[in-house]
Amino acid sequence: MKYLKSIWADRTPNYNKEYHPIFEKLANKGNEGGDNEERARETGKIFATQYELYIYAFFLGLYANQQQESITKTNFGHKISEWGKKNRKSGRESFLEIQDFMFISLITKSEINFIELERNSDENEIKKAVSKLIDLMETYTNGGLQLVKEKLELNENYFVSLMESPLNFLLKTST
Amino acid sequence: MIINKLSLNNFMCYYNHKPFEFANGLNIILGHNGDGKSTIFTAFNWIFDQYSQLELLDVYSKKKYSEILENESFEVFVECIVTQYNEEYKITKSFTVTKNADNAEISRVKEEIWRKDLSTGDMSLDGRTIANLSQQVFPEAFRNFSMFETETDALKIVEGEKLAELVKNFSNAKHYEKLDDVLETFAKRADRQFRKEATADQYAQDKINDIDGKIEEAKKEIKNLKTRIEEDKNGRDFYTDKITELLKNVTISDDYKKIEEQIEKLNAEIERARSENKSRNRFTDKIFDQFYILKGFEKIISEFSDKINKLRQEKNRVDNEERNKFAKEKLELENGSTPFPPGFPSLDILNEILKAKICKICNTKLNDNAEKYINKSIKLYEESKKKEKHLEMPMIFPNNFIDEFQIIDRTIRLKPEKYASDRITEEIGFGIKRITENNTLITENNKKISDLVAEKKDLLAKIPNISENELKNIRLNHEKYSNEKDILVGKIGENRTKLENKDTYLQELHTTRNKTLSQFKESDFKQSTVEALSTFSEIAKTVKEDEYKKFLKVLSERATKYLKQINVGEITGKIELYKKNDKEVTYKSLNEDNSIRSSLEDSGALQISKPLSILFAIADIASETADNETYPMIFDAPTGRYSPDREQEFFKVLKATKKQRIVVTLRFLGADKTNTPFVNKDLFQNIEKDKAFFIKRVRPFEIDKPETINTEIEELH
Repeated sequence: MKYLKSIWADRTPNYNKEYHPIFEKLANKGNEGGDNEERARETGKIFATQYELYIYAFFLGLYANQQQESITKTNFGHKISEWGKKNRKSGRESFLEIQDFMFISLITKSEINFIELERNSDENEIKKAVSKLIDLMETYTNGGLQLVKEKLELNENYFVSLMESPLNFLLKTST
Repeated sequence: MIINKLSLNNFMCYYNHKPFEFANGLNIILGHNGDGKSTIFTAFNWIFDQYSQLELLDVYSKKKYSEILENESFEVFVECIVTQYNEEYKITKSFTVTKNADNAEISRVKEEIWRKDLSTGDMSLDGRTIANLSQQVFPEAFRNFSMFETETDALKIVEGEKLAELVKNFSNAKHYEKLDDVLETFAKRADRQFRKEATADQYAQDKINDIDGKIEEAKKEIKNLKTRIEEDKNGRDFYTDKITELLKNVTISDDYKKIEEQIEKLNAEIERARSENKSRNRFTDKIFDQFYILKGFEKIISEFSDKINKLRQEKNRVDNEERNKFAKEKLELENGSTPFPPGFPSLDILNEILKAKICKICNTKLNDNAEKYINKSIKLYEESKKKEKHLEMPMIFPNNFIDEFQIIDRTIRLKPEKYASDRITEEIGFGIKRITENNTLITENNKKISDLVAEKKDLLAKIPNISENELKNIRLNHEKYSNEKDILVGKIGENRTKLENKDTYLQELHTTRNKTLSQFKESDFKQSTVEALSTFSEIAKTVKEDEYKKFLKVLSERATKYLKQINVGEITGKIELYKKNDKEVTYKSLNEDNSIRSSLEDSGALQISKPLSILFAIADIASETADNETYPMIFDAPTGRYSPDREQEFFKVLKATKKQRIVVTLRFLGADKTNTPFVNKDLFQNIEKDKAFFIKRVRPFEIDKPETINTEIEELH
């Protein structure tokens, strides 16, 4: 039996290359945990991984209903199925369940005719449907990244000046 | 003795020939650390002290050495010109350094003394060694008290065996010491003689010998007991003084400890609050770890569930529809109502045609071929019908995605707290509240700590002479000293009882001895003579002690006078020098009413003034007792702890002694932006002196390169 979520989670989503500097500025690119991450945080990289910033931006876009198509696509090479997996060194618990929440968000917001998909035994049609979910995910993430970008343009240090800033911004957007 | 001139030639930092010409009065040499002050002491010691050992490889000028070529040499010497009575001596100690390919070759040290008769001007070589001459011009006994390089030196040399030796040599006690020795020896000899004559009887002789042995032993034991009692008394007094000092500060110590404990407790609270805040402050982590990111998710979950339900209903509807359609078709087939393929007559008509052999459609006779065709068609049709009867319902939904969605929906709903907005709001609120509370606690505790630190500072200000560490241990030390004192008091009591018993025993021995002696037919006169000599010997001992004490008294008074002169306007108390034991002399501080003065009452300046005052007094009295000969004092001015006024007073006293003083000091100097030293003339001109020199290293130089170092001497006018 095929699971749509497994096929979706096996993909590596993209985002608009225009927002790459935000990843450079706010997300740690190296290994998680230990001194390396502490040093990265000291230089303003408040997200321990790049996918954490991706998730953050996705939910921002989702809550604010902001969508934006990518002009040029890029990604950081992590499959969704890896997201939320934490190693012991980081001192944090895994939060793999976040994948379920992202998936159901996409199912909810998607305009795919699932009855038709249910009846279709053509593998290619299923792949196309998953690509549509991935595209939708990308547009929300780009929307969220645009909001982050606007904040940074107003105050370059917005996300590092107060440790709780990313949380505040999320709370404001989600209500 | 006067030091007229000291010349240093390629000696340590003094490159080429550098002379100091001193006045017979107060000479002050100003110089910063590293500029060659200590070298002056090293040079004087090398000249005057026969035991001074120098590593010659270390003391030649590295600058000079760097300038000569291989196989060339230069001379290193220290030369001192001194005057004593009517003669002048030029004393030179030198050696030669030769540069070899890979090392420096050092010659043996050469000594030379030239003597000049000042009345005639005649010069001649003096054949003595410098060590011999030094004993005449600057004897070791005086040098010990005339040259000291640091405050610690000054503090050390006014206590102990050296001072006891000096007192013995310069007081009248030395005369009585000789008398005491002579009388004691004479008494013993007379006694021996008397006994020789008196003890004809061998038995009596043996008895007397036996008694004498016991008397000697008893005397020795008495002496030991007395020494022990004296030592224990000194120890007891020492601990009494210590305990008195400590008692004054016990309350302060307890208060100090309480403050320390409070600060420690407050710091622990701050540490805990900081640690909690550090963990709580990781907001970006908590967005994911605690699922705060789902703060707005309840709406989406609800939309999702609605969508899944609708899809489920739609799927059921489609499923039913398809199933119904299939069931209907199947029934029709089973009832035979299933039509033939398009354009074909029904089965009944075909059967009638076959039976009548006539085609019902075109009304013609049925030929064999047509009959065969119809039979074949009917056979095929019936076979196909048979197949249809067993037909299965086809697969409507090959995928089960909607079921998958429903499972995810149910799984997520098993843990509603994950996305419960109230839970997230409450946790975030609690976290922020804790952070705020912790921040308030940190601010308040820091303020309390700063108040406590100020309080601690005030406490410490009350006792400027006690370090924090000492203060912490006051309770402990008080207990320790009290125990030590109790032990000593007990020992003194025990030894006193022993002493009384021994005295009684000794008297008994003497009585027995006299009785035994009286058995002999010797004249009373001889016995009286022996006894008289013994008495004289005791008297000489007493007088010697009195003279010793008298000298110490004069020395104490003179030292007290200097102490008051240096510290005008301050309550100084008095200095009292006393015999610590048979070998050592030391001093203590007394108040004007002769009670023991605690050193805690003294400022740092006053403390260092005490040994200095003793040294000045020694110099005075020594010169008065040694044929009016005076000796120079050479020392590093220990005025580091003096205020400018006190310092001026100190130099005034030095000047007023009207004797030769050579003082090196780093006071009165400043340094400009390039760290080049200069003399602070405003301060220095207030000091009355006979001669002044300013020594400094010639700029530029590199501290790590000795070949760049060259000290120059500037005479200040």
